[in-house]
Amino acid sequence: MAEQASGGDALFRSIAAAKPTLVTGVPDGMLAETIRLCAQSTIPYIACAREEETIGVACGAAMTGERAVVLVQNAGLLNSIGAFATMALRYQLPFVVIVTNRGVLADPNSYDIEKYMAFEASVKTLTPVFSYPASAFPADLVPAAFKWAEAARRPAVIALEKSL
Amino acid sequence: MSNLISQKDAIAAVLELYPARPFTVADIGSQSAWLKAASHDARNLYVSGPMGLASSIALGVAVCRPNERVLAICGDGALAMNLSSLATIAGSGVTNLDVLVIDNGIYEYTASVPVPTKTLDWEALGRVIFEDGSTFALDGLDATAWNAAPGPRMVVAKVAPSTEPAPGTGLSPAQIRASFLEASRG
Repeated sequence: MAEQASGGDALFRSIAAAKPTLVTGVPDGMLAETIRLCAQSTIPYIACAREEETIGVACGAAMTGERAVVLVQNAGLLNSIGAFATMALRYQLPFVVIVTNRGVLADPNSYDIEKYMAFEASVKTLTPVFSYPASAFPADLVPAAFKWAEAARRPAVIALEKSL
Repeated sequence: MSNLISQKDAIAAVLELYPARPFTVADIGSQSAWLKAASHDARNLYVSGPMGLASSIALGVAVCRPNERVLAICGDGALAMNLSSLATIAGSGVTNLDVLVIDNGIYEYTASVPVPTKTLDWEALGRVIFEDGSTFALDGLDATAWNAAPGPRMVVAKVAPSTEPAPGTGLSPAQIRASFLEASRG
């Protein structure tokens, strides 16, 4: 059974409130409910085989001036750093990346610890990361993230984490 | 002396198959360079950062512009880095996206060293991934057959490695983004 995180439906509502033209992602247990809701909605959901593809899909959407949301685990964004830097940052493309930041203090799976350490060491030195508890974030989180991304002309990275 | 056409001529020939100009996303290096040399247009998106991502970027464009045709121009070496994107495209439900594979067997922009897919049959791969009747060789392809085929479609162009360096696009990412954005908004 897939791991569920409370707030999956709230995340979907926040995404929908931002009126994206597409959502793309690679699943993580904490994102499963949100992805299921996206796939059942009228918002096109592009299921990618690899996380780097999601960055490409979002860049393509942003190149046309449309809004795109990426849903990946921290390990997935780590897999995509090259595309993130050389396409999204280089071309100054605004979209929203929602990352489940696994391996935090409240999420101590042994296989997630290095993902957390690598995410802290790499992604956070490359771009601002806005962190929120996965079970309690503002309802306007995703619309606000788009406003920031469009003003900053770069992706807004939101890290959702389990909390004690 | 090779009897194969050049990458520049192959790109021009594929663009001529379309009744109207498609949005065209070209991979970094020789694909972007030869696309600009063959047929510069505001609808061209020259990728100058990540290698192999043109097919994924084109998918994003295709989803956002469902009433337009979108062409991804992928080098064989570049597409080898993002082979899974073909499965993603096939499963995405888009029908307005086409993939042109430039098969020259080398990384042309990188000292012409061989690619790992040198023995891969790209047409056979396309027939496995995409719907029957949607994968073509450029050699002998006519516009009627191409435009009647269901999308997503693949066309494979076997081209001669260039004997001259590919020209740069001479455009900055900001210029490319602004031009493409304006064109994509019609």
